[in-house]
Amino acid sequence: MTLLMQGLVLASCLFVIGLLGVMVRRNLFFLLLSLMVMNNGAIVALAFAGSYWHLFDGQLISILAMCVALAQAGVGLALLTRIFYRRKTLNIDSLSDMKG
Amino acid sequence: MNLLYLIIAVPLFSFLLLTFIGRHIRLGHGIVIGIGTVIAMALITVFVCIDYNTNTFPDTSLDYYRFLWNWISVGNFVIPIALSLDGLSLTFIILIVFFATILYFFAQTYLISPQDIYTFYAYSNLLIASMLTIILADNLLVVLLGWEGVSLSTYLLVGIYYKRLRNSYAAVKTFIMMHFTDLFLIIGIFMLYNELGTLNIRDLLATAHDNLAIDSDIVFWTTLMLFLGAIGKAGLFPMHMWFVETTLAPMPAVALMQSSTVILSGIYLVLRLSNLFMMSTDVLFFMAVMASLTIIFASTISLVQHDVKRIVTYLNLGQVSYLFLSCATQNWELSLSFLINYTMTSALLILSSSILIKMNNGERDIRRLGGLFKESKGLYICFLFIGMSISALPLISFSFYIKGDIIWGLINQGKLGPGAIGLLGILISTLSISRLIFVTFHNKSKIKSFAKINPIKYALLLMLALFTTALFLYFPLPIEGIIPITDLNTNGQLPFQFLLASVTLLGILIAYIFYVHPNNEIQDIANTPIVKFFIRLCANEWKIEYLWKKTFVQIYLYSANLLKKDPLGVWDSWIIWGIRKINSYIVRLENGQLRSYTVSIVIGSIIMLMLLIFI
Repeated sequence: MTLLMQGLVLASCLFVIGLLGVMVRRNLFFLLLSLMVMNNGAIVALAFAGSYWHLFDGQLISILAMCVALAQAGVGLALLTRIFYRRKTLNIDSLSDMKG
Repeated sequence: MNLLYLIIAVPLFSFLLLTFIGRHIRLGHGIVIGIGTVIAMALITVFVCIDYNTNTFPDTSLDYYRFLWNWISVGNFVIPIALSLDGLSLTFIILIVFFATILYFFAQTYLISPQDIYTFYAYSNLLIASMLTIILADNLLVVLLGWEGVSLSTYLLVGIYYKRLRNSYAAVKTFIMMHFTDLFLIIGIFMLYNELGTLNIRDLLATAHDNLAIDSDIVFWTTLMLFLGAIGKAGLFPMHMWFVETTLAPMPAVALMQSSTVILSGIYLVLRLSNLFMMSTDVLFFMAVMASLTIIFASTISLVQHDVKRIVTYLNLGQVSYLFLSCATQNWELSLSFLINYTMTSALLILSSSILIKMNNGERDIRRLGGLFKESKGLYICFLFIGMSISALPLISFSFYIKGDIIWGLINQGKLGPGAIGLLGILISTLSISRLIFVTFHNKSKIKSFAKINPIKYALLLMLALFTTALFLYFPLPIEGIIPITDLNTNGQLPFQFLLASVTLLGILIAYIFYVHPNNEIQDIANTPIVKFFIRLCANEWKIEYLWKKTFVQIYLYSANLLKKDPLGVWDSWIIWGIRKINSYIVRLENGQLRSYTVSIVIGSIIMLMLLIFI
């Protein structure tokens, strides 16, 4: 019980740190890193929940989620390079053309 | 008689034909259509007359009734379109078709430009179709339909020369005046329906006779409203403006409107509902007052006008009022006889003066006319007949007996004021028609060349002139059982006829002194301030037009100006202002910054989570 509580606190700490990073940072690279941190928070929560109920499903899904996070990082990095080629900057605010 | 509906359908169809294809066909074809219509109508009328004379039943007032179709049918409220013909309608149909025939042939020689001819034929066809609808309808709502048709076609006829701005204004004025008075008629009809529950004229008169008390409030108000509606068409004093504006139309149209159609619709309504009008003595007295006002008004103005057309118009207006004087004495048969005399005289007067104007090459100011006596004896004879009829010349003129009976009836009933004004009206109209004749025929000629006129026209006019003589006195009219006949008290009528004769002769004498041999004393009288004031007042037509402008038109324009900013619409603009304000705040949130969107999403989801957890 105590293990689960501490694990969930750790997971939500990671998630909130990642979220704040997404909201605050302007650099696209650090945005990607913050997203990774958020993902990791979710994965940690999955792993703790799986071990708490003695089910392997949670840990399997956490491995799956890690793969997804990696794929996501790959896609993110590809987009990052495209944006860097096009704009010569990694500032996310230079992309705020959505106003319409 | 089963073809009676054609008498309305033919002119209506001809109107549509001429309006739609009139401008694409040649002049000759337009004339053929117009004249063909009127000949068809005349033939139908002749057949109807023959039928009527062979099929009369002595004791039935309803002679012919034909149901065509139901116009409105809602529960118990059924308005059929049906034709009903009796002696009164037949008299009116004969009058209208007779004059239409004469005027259509006259217009063909009088009007010049092809466009004028076909528009005249088209609009006159509409006018005649709506008149015949009024006369043949057996239902007040159908009468109203024809009534509006008359308003519309009068507007169109006055505006034939619509390219001159003055004429367009006059046409609009006519339309507004007529529709203003139509309102009273509509109110009257609704009041009748509310009270009696039927709109069929025959049932309505019967129920009114049985159910309503004489001189009750409801009778007074309904008859007053119907009378106000009728004088809108008949052109009595406050509503005479359209009658004067008709002078701007071409002469055949003037004759059609002033003598034989529009005026007749007003009189017809009063005669048709005479049983109802008899039940309200107050309205009859009001009628006498309005008629005598109109007599004074019209005859004094005709005395000082210089335009021939306007003199003629005001003379006719004065004659119309005698019709209502005779209605006011409840002597309906007499008013019908006088109506026939009036239509003959006024048509003759208008046609003769149109020939007079044409001879003088369009000059209408009588100060510049003169010396026609040597030029045209035929026209002179026509004008003598007119003068005889208008001034009620003793013994030989039709109107001497009729007008004598009207005024004698007024005096017999104790209405001395209207009676005296009737006599005064005869004196003044004698003066003004004598003035017209003396000035245009006997004064020195100021125009060198006169246009030649075809003598066949005089034959036509002299045929009309025969009807104004006493030959046709007491011609039997088929009105038994339709309008009530009252006997006139003949006791002491002979001295009165002497009085009337002396009034007429006095008028001619004064006119002779004034206009043929004016000497210095006459000039002195004419130059006194009070006479000058009166002359100026009458020359300005009693400033009625000015009064209308000051009271109605200016008040209307002022209130329209006030309402232009739409004071009730302020609330709308406040609402719009509030929405704009809120909008400007919300729009600022949409700034295109992805991160601020993320922040708002996060804040939103946190609030949602909080709500889920704590509530």
